[in-house]
Amino acid sequence: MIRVELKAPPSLRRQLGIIVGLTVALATFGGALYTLDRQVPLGSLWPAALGWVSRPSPVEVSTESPASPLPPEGTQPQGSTAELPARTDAARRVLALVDHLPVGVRVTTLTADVEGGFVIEGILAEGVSLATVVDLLKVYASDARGTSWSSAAAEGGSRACRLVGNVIAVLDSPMAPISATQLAELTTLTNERAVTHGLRGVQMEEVIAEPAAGGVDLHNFDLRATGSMASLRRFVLAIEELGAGIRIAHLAASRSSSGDADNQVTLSFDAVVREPLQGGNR
Amino acid sequence: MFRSSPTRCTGIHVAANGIYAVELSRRKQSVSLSRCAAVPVAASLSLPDALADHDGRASLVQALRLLHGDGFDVERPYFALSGAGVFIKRRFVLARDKGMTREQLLWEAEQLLAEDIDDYVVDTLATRHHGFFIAARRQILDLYGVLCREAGMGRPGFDMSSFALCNALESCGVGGEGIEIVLQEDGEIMRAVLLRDGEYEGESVWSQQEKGPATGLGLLCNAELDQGEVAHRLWVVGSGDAGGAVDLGEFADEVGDLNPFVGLTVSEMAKETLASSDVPARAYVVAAGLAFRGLADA
Repeated sequence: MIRVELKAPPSLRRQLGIIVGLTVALATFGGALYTLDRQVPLGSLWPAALGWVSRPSPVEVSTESPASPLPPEGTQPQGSTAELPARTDAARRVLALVDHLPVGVRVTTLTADVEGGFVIEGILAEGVSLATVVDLLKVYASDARGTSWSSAAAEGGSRACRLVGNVIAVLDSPMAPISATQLAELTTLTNERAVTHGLRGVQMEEVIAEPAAGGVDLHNFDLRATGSMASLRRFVLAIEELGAGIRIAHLAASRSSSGDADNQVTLSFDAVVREPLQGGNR
Repeated sequence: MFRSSPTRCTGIHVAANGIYAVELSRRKQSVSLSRCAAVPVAASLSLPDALADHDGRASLVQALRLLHGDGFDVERPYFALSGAGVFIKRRFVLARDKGMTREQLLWEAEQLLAEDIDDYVVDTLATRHHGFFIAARRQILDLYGVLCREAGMGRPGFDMSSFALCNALESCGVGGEGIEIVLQEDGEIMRAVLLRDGEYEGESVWSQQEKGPATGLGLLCNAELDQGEVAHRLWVVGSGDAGGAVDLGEFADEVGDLNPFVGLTVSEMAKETLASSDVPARAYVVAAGLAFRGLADA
């Protein structure tokens, strides 16, 4: 009997995530205790606490219906989190596809959407079969189709091609609603990270806001830049590290005729904001 | 009096046109068929995409709950993996000890999957002639976990569809001689698995829109068999009739349906199910292979 083991042990990334999460929780708890101890020496509370435990106070039975305390102003839940857009790693997964293409495929443009849909256009070198490329993509994508044709842009025996499909993107937890101030910080951080990771000529477009389900606003802004595919890949990873407040809604990269360092890239970002943007477009 | 309770396992094959489930039970060394069922689903399902799609998963959950309600053992159901995101790759291996062969195959998997290696669960299989590495996208396994949770089932176990076919053939005791081919029809998809002396050797998967069974089988035989070699037996499995619609006699000395329940004690309930529906026994082969595998693991 063939008995291969296809169990899903927790990945290294998840284990690391759990360790980091526990460390952060421990550090936060320790920090809170330290702050409290600075304000009220905890040691002095022990005798009083022991006294409360040894002398239980009489219990008054109330006949009124229990009323839950009101949350502080501005912290009321804004609709169900199930209605919020989900975080996604679609852009990163589509970019990773390019690495799996055979050497004879030259990518000229690539687009990725929030649900994992991709379109790759390029040139197939002579002797590279479209069917082989599509079969290879199917290993990494849930769906891949392609067409190829003779084109003026393709020299000799090479052919232009268009590959379309879907990667299985992880649509995990809902995005975290953020404040307008946090959005401003995030756009600045996004800009900074683009530059840090090697993109040049970074331009941020105006933020556009529209009401979304759950009583929140969906904000969208674009970033245009020039850079290599490696820089773009690093930047996309860095955006995922910015947390649940932001996601890449759309990505487009177009190869420059002057080389890989000058690819034109456009990224569109989503953020969910729980209060109206001061001075934003509505 | 003091009779121990039997070990039970359910294999669930989510096919394009419905769900096929087989529950086998084992008491001492005797395996019997306790239950089997074919549950149609509303729309044609394409896995694994349907698992990530809300409507697709909802219809699967509904069908699985029916099985649960019918008394199938769902403590650890086994599912078959196929399609996008899971694959078997064959590699040439040097004659070395098991540990080194496994190490080589895992290295081969790393070369193919590169930085995505962490997104996959990988295992290896070494036969007398070949080495294989098997990879399944972690996310797909997680989605099956979600499906089972929503359907009130226990944690799922997995096997590749083609290995389930091999295990069914071996466990029902009819195969194991010379070259054999198992031809499975699963909706639009056809799969042919080639075995040599009972060992998995290779497979081919194609869409019926692209080519018919004879063309697909011809390509597989050209690629895998030496000049003059002919399969000893060709087993046809699946609910469709693609295998019967064409003459497959040129590919094997014998052609026949594979009944996975041959040699098993069949409960009255299963007998009734088989007699009252027009679903042939060969439609349950993958599910039976999964259940046999589950019993071996239990």
